[in-house]
Amino acid sequence: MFFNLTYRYKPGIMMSQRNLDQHSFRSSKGLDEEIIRRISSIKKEPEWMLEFRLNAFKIFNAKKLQSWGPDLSKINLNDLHYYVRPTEKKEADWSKVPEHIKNTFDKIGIPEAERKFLAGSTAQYESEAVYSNLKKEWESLGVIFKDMDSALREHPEIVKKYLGTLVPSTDNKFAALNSAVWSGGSFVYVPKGVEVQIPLQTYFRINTQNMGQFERTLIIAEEGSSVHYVEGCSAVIYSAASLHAAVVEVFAHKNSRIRYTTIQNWSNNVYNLVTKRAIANENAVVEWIDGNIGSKVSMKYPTVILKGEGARADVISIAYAGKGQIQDTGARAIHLAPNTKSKIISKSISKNGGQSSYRGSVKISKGAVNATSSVRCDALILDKESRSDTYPKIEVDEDKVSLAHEATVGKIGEEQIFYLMSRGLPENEAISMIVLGFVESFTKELPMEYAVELNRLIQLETKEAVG
Amino acid sequence: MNNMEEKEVISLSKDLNEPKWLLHERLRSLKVYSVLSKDIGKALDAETFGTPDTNVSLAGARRDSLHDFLEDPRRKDIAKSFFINRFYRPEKSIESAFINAFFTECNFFAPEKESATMTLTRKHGIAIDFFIILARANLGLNSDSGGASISEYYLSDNASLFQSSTITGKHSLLLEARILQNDAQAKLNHAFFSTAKKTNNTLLNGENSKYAESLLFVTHSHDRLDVSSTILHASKSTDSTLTAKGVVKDNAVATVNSLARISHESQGSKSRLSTHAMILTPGAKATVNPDFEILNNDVIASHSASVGEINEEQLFYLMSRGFSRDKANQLIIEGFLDSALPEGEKALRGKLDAAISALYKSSSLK
Repeated sequence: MFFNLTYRYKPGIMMSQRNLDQHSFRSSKGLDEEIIRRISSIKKEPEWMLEFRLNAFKIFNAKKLQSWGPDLSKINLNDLHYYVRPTEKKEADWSKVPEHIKNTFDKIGIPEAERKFLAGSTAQYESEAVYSNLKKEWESLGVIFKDMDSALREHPEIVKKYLGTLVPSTDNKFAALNSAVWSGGSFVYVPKGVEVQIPLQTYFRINTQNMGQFERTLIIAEEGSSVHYVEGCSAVIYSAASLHAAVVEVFAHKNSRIRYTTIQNWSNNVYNLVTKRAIANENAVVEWIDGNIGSKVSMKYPTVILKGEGARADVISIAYAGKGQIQDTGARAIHLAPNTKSKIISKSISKNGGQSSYRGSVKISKGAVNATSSVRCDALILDKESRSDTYPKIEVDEDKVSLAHEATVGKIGEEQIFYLMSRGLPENEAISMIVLGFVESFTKELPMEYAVELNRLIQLETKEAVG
Repeated sequence: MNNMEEKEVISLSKDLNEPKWLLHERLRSLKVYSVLSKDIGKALDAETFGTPDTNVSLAGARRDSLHDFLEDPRRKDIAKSFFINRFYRPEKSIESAFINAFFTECNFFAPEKESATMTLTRKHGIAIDFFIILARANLGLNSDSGGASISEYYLSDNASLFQSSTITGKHSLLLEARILQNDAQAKLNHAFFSTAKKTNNTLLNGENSKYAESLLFVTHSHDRLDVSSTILHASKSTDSTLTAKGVVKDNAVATVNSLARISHESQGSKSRLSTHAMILTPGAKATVNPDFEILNNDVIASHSASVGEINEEQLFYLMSRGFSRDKANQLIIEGFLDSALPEGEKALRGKLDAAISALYKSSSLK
């Protein structure tokens, strides 16, 4: 997509009150059983889903906030709208997408013409997908790519089989909350042997003040199939803190391959608490490519459970923590089977008092013979107000393994800047160039347009306020 | 609070002829201990640690007991204030509360000359030791520890401490703190051969202070090792290095946690953490966490960690040269651990070699 990034990142894209009030249904603030029943009945969900939600709500009430990591006590859970629906009827065709929603896309910089370039995108506007378009040949191959609400209506048997099996409601408080009030998110099902060539893409946005967004994503790749799923997030800036608590469950069956790419660029008032987990069966490959640039507080540790022999996990992530931001991110690999491999690369940049943490964990269980794992995390601290923490955890329960972890933390070398400046670059450009080089192992894994976008974003962030 | 335990503490204090404030300290510690043990759901038993069998030989250093100090009218207030302001107060942890309630021995050690050496052996008992190293003094300390103890080392400007320590007591519970002022330097080489829990806290309080730790472990059968080392950089141009290497065999479980925190004030500091473990047989387990918290950008910090098995190629090479499998394994382990021992460290090397050969006497590897 060819949209203007500077727009996405600048504050002040405010919508008029009229626009905001065009939501056809918005739940009142706070959460009780009644609201959950109401959400479920508006969505005309089957009985088992209502039960799933109510059960999760009980767990949510019983669970305490986690005792480690960033402080989440400032999130006022009673001051959020748990469900907002932009239009009664889901639009399939761009021309029928309501004007005020199009306005928002325009402001964010996604042109109408994008559809021609990127057939197959589902754009999520607020809590529900407003348009989705799937390439005809994929449909003929049996690939299902829709928003979760439609998937629940149209393929309840698949949803029921997988939902909540990898991230149960009991996993953590925010997974329980998501299970209780989820709305929207993506559903991807790739049948046996099908290789999806073009990445499937989605945008997520939050647009109503104080509105939490709780999407639920389910990706299933059957035996021998492959798929690349891409999501990018952005949000309009508001003053009150907002919450994004998503759950992503990824199932890679035997010999399949799934790549999940995220660029998260929430506005700086959003708490972004995401539980992402994948299970890789025999010889399957799961790759998490995860970029965290926005949000006030992010807590996200994409996990791969290597369940089948020969399964592989790759996690490549970057985090940028600017003023007032905490990026508490990392990765987890749990080796349960022989000959499994995991590779984790994490890069973080802290600036203007930002705080970034790598919190990772590699566990090799008994029986995971010949498992190998390598972890590399590097951090760059651009000024003396900023902070960078590293908490790697390595647990090994098996003797025939090889596991290595390496990390460096530091500032940009004076001699590197001097070298570039002696070649005629101003200092801020030199710094920005060094930072781009630092994150290159991440950007090179991105689809081209995302890489361009990310590079521009980093340039923008590093050039200002330096020099 | 358990009535039995309270009576025990009161009679202990009475036997040692302690002043009121010290009994009060003990009872306060016992209270903290009771609350924490209820919360955590585990309890320690003073009897398992036995009575102190401390053996000390000193050259150029002196030893005074807290008791001696308290009887000396000129020094009793200093001793009291020192004790009251110790690093391991009961609130620090359940182990700290336990030792503070039940200790039967409290010593002050200090070099009297610029250069002093001492040897300390203690396999049993519950004790608190303070080591006070005044400006420009240098203490070389060899120790073999067991039992439960709190050891605190205070290094004034330009003071230095070289420690070589083995932990061989059956169940050891050791809490250590090192506080370093300007230009002070502490080196700790310690090796573990059995079940032990040790917590190290190092505070680099003065500019240019420096801390280097080498941690080695050789554990087997049902050994449980739990070591954690926290290094706090609180001043400019401070330097810390931690190298941990060890092997686990049979059903041994080893956990090595390390954390270096570089504060906002400590510009120009350096820290390196490295933790490497080798798992020798199925059933053994190792967990390592080399953590960093870095709050300023004028820092050089790096860490590395690995857990793995004996390299098959190295083994094959040695066996093709005529070594038996056990001998070849032994040589590889020796080479692996040896690289973590600093040059000139003689005291530990012999004990380490003995522990490695003992590994293969108990049972064959494969």
